[in-house]
Amino acid sequence: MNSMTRPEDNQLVGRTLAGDREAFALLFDRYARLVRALAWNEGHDWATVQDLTQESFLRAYRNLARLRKPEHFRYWLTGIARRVVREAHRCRHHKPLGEEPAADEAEGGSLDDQDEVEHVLRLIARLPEAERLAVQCFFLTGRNIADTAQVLDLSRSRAYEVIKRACGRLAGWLGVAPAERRKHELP
Amino acid sequence: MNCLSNDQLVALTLAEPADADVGAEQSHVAACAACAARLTQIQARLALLETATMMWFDRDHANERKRLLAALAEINSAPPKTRVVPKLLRLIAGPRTWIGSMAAAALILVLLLLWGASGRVSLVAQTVQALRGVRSYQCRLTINYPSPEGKKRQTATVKLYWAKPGSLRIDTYKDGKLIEVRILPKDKPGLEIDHRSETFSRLESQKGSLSSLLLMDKLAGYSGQADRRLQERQLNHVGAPGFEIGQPKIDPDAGNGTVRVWIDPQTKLPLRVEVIEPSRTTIWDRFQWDLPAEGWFTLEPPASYQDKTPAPADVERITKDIVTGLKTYAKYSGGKYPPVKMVFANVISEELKRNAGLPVRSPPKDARSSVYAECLRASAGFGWMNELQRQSSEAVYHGKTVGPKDKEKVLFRWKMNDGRFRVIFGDLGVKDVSKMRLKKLEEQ
Repeated sequence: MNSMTRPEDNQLVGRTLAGDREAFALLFDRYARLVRALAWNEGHDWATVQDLTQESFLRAYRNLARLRKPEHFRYWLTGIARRVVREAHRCRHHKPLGEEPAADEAEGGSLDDQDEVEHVLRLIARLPEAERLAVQCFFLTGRNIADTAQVLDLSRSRAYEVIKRACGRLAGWLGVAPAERRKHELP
Repeated sequence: MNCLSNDQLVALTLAEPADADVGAEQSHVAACAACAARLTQIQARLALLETATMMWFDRDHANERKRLLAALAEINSAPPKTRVVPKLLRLIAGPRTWIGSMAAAALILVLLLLWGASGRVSLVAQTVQALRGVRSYQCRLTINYPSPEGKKRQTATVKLYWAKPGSLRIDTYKDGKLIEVRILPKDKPGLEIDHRSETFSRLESQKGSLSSLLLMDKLAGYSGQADRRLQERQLNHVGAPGFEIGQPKIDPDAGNGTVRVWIDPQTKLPLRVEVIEPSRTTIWDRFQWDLPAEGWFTLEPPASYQDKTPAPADVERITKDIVTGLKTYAKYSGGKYPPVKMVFANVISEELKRNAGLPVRSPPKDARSSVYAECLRASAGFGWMNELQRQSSEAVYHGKTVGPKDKEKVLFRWKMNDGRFRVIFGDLGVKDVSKMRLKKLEEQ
């Protein structure tokens, strides 16, 4: 049923190889965010991130016929993106944030919608690098732990642990109260 | 059980089956309003994080897409095809290798066919046959979890006792010391003894599948073939032949691992079983077959131990959650209830989200929307239905034939502790009836 509405990666690869550039653009729609996240987390500015994303996709396009398993396009692409990012040699690290969330951030809850996204992103940026990338990949792959693990070259269980820890930390920073330390009583 | 930590609630939200058993946590959330509220908060926060991440990395996407297409247009044609086939042909069609390669390939094919037709099938079939005759066994399970970086590998050791018709006892050891005993007699209430806190809890009878621990049961019912034969291994001073089967073939619910079995060449019963899953490897060994099982399933806790059996969940609360779940489902599904016999909460919850126009695998962009909250609340009801159905065959759901207009027809019913039945009708009216009355109602 899915193949009726949303073509699989291998179908899009096949169509691209047959000369359909729009099919490759659909792959770009699908995975550009992920590639941008990989570049962004290496400390590049946004303009560089966009350039590196373009370069990654163009390199993938040129070498598409060498992809042995078209269904593994995303892993292959992220491998290319990592190489492209490494080659860039122009690191500019994120502006460091404080070690602990400020009081207003820890309380959470009463922010305007417009500000909320920026607020949340600042919190994500505060995560240790491994957790930050894991949580971004997790969300950008549609909450797919197996894909996240593949992209980050981690075991599935390890990826799961990192994501779980990161999400737990973020939930706390976003104002979810910790558990009460008492035995559970039924209402 | 204590209220759940944020990490535990996150684990529930991520719904990773490979994580340690979360059944207890799910039950706790179902019964604890505070944890249920925090779970909803966490789900909303994760949705916010997801939205923010997507928005951030989606900036300028349309322009960048145009830029990519323009760049592709400059590359004149489709991506160049590699010349794999001609290269391959040159490689294999050389005059010195062609005939030899063909002959070797044919020989390998014949050998594979012969091997597949004989040993592989019969070895599994013999093991299955031998397992079907087993009356009881005990064995050791060693569960190895991948080691966190720089830390010692985590291992759990369990001694398992099984006896026909399916009673189970699980003794858990830590550092060689018995810390916990779970006794689950078939179709009867069980007992859990915690030696660390010197407490015990009475358990509801479990009629559902404990698939990973009833692997031998599942294997005894297996009718397929092995995926491949394994190299013989020296076990208990004998050369043990082995075979490998994909775990989903043996039990589709048990996970996506691989089961490797080495058997005693004489008895054909397993000497060692390895279940390899992404999150852990479980080794079954030290099997002892057909031992006297008397005393394995005694439901007497040590006299000095304190009874910590939790109070049963309130039937009114369960009913309210179920009615809410069914009502919500019908609201978003064209006035129909889930058309199934067995309510699997995950499946029905996903279906509900789909019907309500919400993304299935991730929270919607506006995770605080009332529709999303409704669907989350409905999931609790499906969870109860699933639990009741797992616990008792007298919890029956008629969603395939009963709709909201069927005021007199039984939609869902289960047996309560007093022996009467709680009935939810098609119009979601609720009534407690005797078994006789229920029979008449269901005959209508």
